[in-house]
Amino acid sequence: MNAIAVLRQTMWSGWTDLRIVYTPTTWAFGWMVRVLCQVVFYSTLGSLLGDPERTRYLLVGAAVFIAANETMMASASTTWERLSGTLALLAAAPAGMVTVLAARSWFWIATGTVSSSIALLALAPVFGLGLGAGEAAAAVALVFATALTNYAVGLCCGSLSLRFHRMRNVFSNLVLLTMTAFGGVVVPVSFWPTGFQWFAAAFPAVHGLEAVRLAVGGAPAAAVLAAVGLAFATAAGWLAVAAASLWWFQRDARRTGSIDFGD
Amino acid sequence: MSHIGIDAPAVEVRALVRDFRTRGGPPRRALDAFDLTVAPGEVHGLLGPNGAGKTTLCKILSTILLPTSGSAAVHGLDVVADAKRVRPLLGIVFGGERGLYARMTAAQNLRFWAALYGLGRREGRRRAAELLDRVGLAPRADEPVETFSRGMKQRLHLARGLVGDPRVLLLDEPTVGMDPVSAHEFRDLVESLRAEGRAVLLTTHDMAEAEALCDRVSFIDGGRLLRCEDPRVLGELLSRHERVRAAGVPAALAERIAALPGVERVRETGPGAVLVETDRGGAALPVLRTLVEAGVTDVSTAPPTLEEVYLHLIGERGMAVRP
Ligand SMILES: Nc1ncnc2c1ncn2[C@@H]1O[C@H](COP(=O)(O)OP(=O)(O)OP(=O)(O)O)[C@@H](O)[C@H]1O
Ligand SMILES: [Mg+2]
Repeated sequence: MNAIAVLRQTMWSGWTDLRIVYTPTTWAFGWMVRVLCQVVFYSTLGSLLGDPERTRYLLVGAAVFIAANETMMASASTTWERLSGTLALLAAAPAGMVTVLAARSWFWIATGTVSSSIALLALAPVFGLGLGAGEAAAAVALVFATALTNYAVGLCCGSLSLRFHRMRNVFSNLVLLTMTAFGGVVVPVSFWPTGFQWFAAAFPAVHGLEAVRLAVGGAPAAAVLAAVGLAFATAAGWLAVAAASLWWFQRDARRTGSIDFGD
Repeated sequence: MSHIGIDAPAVEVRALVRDFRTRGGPPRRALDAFDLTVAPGEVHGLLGPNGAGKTTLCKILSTILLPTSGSAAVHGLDVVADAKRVRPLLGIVFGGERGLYARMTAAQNLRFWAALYGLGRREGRRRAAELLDRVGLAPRADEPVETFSRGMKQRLHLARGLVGDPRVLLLDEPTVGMDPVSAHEFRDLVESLRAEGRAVLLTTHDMAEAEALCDRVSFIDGGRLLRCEDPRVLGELLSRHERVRAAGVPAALAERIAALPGVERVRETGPGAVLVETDRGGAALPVLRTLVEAGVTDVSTAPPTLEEVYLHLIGERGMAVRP
């Protein structure tokens, strides 16, 4: 099958969906303002404690997790296919629905990288995080890696949301909450009991965040790459589960009739 | 493509059964021992009331629903075992406004589906332009679908169904919500599909539409095939069982009408309101005359409903409907 053509068309269709969510103006003055406020809020907590180290920790954690936050929206947008009523048509098309569903929400990777990077780079000088040009470039690349790998998690939640439509908002919120609580955003992962640490290690964004922290902290490249490697390795796992879950959804729907014309 | 049965019927359905699980209760049988054959180039009407099983049949043929038992094949390919090879042969069109990407333009929608039906970029562009022209949407090709009227969306749906150059088209109530002009244009389009040798399975509640378009009509109810007929039988039934509705009819006048030749029944539908059912062609005319001469002006005629035609169809051959 002409996978490239399908991918290109799917990405275009996703991109037009993004315009339902934002216009350039609402993105800049709605979403970006919100993002900056959130990161400022966390960082200010650090400042109030009078701890510059803690301030920088909170700044990086909050800013990088914007990328995780935004790519988790892939969970909701995967189910938008139901809103347009195209699910049955996709299931009946020769190319099937898995590629389309897996690729349609790619734009969150782009917007997540952009908003997260802007927050990090714009607020770094404000909260005393000095970044050289090289460090800044590395940080943006690593934020992208975080967004990219966390997309697999969002997709996984999305496929479950399609299957269990009534619980569609539960999965992504649960995952996001867990990642934020135990993933080293506010307090280091090592703060938590070992079981929780293992749990946190399953999420790519946790390793992505760690990679950013290492890079802006001037750690050796090998250490940064190891963290990135873990992000991609865990993402591969999530992606496999997501793909299996989409296949399962398609097969299951054929048996139970849960995809109707117009769904 | 060499494996596709050229000589095989476009659609062949044998003893098809589909049960749906219901909450708590026994399974609901949406299709029951259903048989159907559609020849290549045939426009076949599937006529039935709500819940008859029409959409269920279309879903099974389009490979998105599995049968409980029995078989269905498209050009000799089984929709379960050979689903992958069946899909490129089919075009699917369902009524209503859903199934399109509202933010994309008409041309973009078609290009999207062209890719999903295996067309390359240039081919997809060409096919999209060609089809938009065919359904009269070329002037609006680059406008987002959300700005389209209902009828325009329906036409785009039809174009979408044709994007893969299908041998068999499944049209599930494609004219729902179309105005008479659009519906008329739609008929012309279906005619041209037949001329191209494509088979069409057309699902509808609309008996006039079925009569005008179809080579054969299958009547379905309760998941069962009642009869498969020449559509002329339908036209004859429609005119033979014409009905007259009137208001302000005194009881004595109603009795006089009931005695007229060809009047099957006079039903009181409200105070002074009656519904006159006839069972002979042309019988409505003397009824109308009698009413008007007696000074009743609130009078109208209407074709029989699908349910009534069903009752007559079944009554004529004494076929019992499943409870
Ligand atoms: N997914 C499902 N789960 C349970 N029951 C179903 C399901 N799909 C259809 N049915 C039942 O199967 C029967 C046939 O439905 P179907 O949609 O095929 O009817 P239809 O002829 O298309 O009706 P309409 O004219 O209203 O579109 C109905 O009783 C319906 O309630
Ligand atoms: Mg239906």
